[in-house]
Amino acid sequence: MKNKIVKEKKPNWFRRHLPTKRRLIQLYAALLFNANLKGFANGYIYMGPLKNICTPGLNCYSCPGASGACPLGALQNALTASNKRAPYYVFGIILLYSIMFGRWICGFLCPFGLIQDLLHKIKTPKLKKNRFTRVLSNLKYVILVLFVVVFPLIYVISENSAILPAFCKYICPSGTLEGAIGLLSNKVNSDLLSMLGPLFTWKFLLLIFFLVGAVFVYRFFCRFFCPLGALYGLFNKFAIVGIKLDKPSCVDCGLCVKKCKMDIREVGDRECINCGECISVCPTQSIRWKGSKFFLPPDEIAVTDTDKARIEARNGKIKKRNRVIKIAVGVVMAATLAGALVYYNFIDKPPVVADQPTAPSDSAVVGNQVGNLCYSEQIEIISAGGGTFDVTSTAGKVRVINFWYTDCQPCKEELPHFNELASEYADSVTMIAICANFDADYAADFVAENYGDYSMLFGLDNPDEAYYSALGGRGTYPMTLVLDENGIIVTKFYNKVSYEDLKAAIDTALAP
Amino acid sequence: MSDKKQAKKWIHTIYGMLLSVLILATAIALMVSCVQIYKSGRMPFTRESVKQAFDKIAVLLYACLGGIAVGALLSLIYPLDGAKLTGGMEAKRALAKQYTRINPLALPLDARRALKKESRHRAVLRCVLVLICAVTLIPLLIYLFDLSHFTQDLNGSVLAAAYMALPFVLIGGAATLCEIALENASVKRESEQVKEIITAGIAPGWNNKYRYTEGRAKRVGVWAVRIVVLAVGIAFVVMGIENGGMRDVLGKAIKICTECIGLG
Repeated sequence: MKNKIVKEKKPNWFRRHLPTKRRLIQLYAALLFNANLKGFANGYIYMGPLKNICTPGLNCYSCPGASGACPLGALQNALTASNKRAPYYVFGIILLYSIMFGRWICGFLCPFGLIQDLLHKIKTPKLKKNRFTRVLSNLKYVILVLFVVVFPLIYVISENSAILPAFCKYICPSGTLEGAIGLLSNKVNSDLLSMLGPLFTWKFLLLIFFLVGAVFVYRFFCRFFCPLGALYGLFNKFAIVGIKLDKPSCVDCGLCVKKCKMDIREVGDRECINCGECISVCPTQSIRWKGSKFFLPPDEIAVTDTDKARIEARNGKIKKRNRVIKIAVGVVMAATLAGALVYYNFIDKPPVVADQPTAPSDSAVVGNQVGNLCYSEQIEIISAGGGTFDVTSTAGKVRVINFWYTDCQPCKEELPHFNELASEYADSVTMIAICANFDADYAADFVAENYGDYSMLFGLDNPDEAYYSALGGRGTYPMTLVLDENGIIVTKFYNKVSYEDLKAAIDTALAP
Repeated sequence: MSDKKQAKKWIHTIYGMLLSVLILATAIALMVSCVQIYKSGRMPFTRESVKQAFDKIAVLLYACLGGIAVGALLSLIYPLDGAKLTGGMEAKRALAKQYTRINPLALPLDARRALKKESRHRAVLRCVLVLICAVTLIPLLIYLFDLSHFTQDLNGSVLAAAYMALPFVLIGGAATLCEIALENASVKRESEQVKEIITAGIAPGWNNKYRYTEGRAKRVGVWAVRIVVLAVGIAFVVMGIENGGMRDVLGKAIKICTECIGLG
């Protein structure tokens, strides 16, 4: 009898072009970490309590869809506030992510990593890794030390204290793409466009550089510039989840290093993003996922028929167990995503969007736009004397209402102008600077330390920043309104205001 | 290579080059537009100015998107065959494997000295590299430790510090590249010498297999690190919740980070 040569059936075109499991997990993670889809529609960021939690990948929290905080942004802000309190929480979160996942986060969970992977699929010539790229991959450690740690800390300990999240401010492309472009592409935020200047121009140029780089170089930003990847990479070898090389069975053929597009020296080192693409090329199957032995039947050769039956029964049980685990994990993942989408888009209370009347300026319509009669509100005073103050009560005087908080660097830079002008226009202008309610613990001390003369009023916003939201605040600080003697809003600033601009606005309001 | 494969390769190469040029041209156009808007006056960014700039480069943008779509179709319908992967052991590993086939103690003194010369040479290279990095790092450290350099002009201060870091990055990078090249050359020379010794059969090794055996101690050590770091992480999170750190994260995350998105 002739032996039949059985050709392995090639999967059909559709099956060959299905997205891989890794791609599906990446898409899932990108959607989960940006589950606040209504934010893209209404132009507001999510301001609810779940932003306590840091998402593991690089995902700017100023993105309208962001469902959590960015670990890198949180780390820098925690370091800038380290003189007030030790940054245990952020350190703890980063340590937990690092030891549990390491750079598996880069390979599977990071939304910006997904963007780079998709850009790299564009069919252009690619720059292959070489000695130069291997040396350049150390640049991200320099960025981590300098921009993430040193610059924020230096301004904490120096005389000229300032809030400086240097990486977010000068480098991070996720902030520009997801935050700036995500927010500003919505018409509701058109007035924020006026705040764009040299910093945005620089960041936009850098963003284009990173995106185009990702087309030609695999994971251009991750490999050479990402400090979060640098941080996770330090724990890669110890991480619980990831790729593992079984050294006893490895024959050092080097195929895994050749296949890998990252600058690894060996599988699982600090440059490895645990994507798993090397698993299929290993001729001795020495590369596997950590913990995968739990899912595989042990190697055993059946000698007798009894052994054969026993092994088959055991393997059947293992397969059944694996199937149950897969289904359970699938159900949990689907439920988490569905729950997140429902919560963020339907259950979560949207920000208080006050009426946006379009009445002409000579009407007395109450609102928060230029030309409207400003909303009235009782504000708690934190200057000497205390008590409450009705912001619109001092009729006959021009009023300037400023919203700020102590960790806002632009706010701190402009407050001296308000103080100066308050003294200059003491008879004709009432200046009130209202601190955000969440910053209540620090506001009084800050004011006493820096503005002890109390030439202007300092107040505290109501819970949930009610007055700020009612006056059209969208989460950007500082915000300044100038009201004329009749309480009509004549100028509104959504950005840091210079001495000259503020003076001009006051003079306009004072003009008969 | 058959004619059909050759033709496929040429089509993909030409398409790739054209698309690269298109993408680079689009990127440059976007950058130039952004700079032009910025330089156009006070508060230059408005919906109208952005729309105008976009309209000027719209053709290029759409051509780029079209080119990408064509590429996607090309790879679906007329895919290029994947290149065959050839591996190769890293030079240092290969050398370590070669050493298992000789008994260095049985070598004549001059042969042993010749082999040691190369490893000493590599040690010197590493020392020189560390020295160069340290020397270029010192000015940066001196600069950073002098807090008077960090004024209220945040942008200026950071830029100045970045300039000070540049020599370290550039010189350190160049030195590292040179060191890698020289080290590889030294490893290759040593490898040739060991190959000659093996061929000559001067000092045959114990024929021990080049095997890495992961000891139980190492596995326990890895798990110990994991447990310690997990415990410290959980403790830090709890302490952070107690001392209000979590509230700080929330406070910052629910505000639009104007610096992060380039406003101002």
